[in-house]
Amino acid sequence: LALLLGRPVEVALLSDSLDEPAALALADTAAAPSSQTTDFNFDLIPEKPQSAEAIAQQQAIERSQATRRSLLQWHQALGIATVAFTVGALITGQLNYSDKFGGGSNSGQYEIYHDVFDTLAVATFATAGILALAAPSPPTKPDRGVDTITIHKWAMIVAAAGIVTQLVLGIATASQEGHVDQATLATTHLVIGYVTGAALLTGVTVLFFP
Amino acid sequence: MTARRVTVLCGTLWLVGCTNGQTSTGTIVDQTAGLFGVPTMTPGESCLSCHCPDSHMAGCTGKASQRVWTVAGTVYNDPMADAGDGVAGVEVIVVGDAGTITMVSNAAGNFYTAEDVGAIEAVIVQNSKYRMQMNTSVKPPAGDCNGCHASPPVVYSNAFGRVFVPKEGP
Repeated sequence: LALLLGRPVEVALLSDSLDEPAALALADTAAAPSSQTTDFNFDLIPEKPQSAEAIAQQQAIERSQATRRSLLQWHQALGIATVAFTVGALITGQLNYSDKFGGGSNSGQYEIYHDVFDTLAVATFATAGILALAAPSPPTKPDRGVDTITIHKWAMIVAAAGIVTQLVLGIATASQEGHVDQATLATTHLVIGYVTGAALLTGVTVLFFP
Repeated sequence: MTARRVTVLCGTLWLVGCTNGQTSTGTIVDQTAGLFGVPTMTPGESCLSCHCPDSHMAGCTGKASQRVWTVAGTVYNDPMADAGDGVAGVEVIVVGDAGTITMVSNAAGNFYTAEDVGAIEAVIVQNSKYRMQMNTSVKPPAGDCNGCHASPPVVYSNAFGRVFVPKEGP
């Protein structure tokens, strides 16, 4: 009876004072509500049947977001690779500059490494940028003002401008080998290189902050 | 230079390995200069035989015609020095009728310029202690110092051995 009623204390008191049929009758009346509420489910918002068009639209959104996720994961990986290659290009570029114009012996030993790093940096940066631009937009874009993504985008625009400038300037500097104005071009190339690197690092670092 | 950068791109991204004097993209690797050439390459040899405008010129291979030097050479401490014993940090001043250019020898002793100095009137080679001067007039395109200044001395020239300046200290 205690198990059926779920109220052991009351049942214990009643079982001493009532005869058996009365106790059973009490048990029946107590058990009756529980048999009526076996299904606890309820509809907070009643479901409406979706039209075929709405279902197709929902599936299209899911597909585009899966594509977006995949592209942005590659974008992230290539972005990290770009930072690594850019740091390499900056280090070898500074070494190359010091070797040639900073009292070094003009051995040219860092040129090939600088070329490899800057080529890789340009290639990964361009690919990462294309992936980001190609990624489908999210279904809703809440206006959050200037957030980390906004700073990331602006920093990358600066970095992109810097990289394009560096490409042109780097080729121009190298082509002036043996000319007296090469030092001026190289200094400009070096300064813009650091600015570009700073923009790139800013754009990546800011993403670590919510 | 664009070709150079394209080659680097190919070499880097397409995992090129140099085999049999060619990259897998077909770029010929010069046996003297390698894929690119460096400022310290082939000291003591005639620079302008490759760093000249085109192969139609007498004595010009045209191998480095994208980087034409007007004056180039290697400086040593001794006129009979071995080719690899070039000296770094020596100042080379070339006075021409179109201008004067000052160069500093690199780690291999090489110096070079692409600036037009016109007909060379004098060349000064100096370190902090000694100063050597050549007053022989040389008309362009004969800025190939090592073409005459060689060891053993070139028979047809008046140059006695390599371009040199005595060593500063013991």
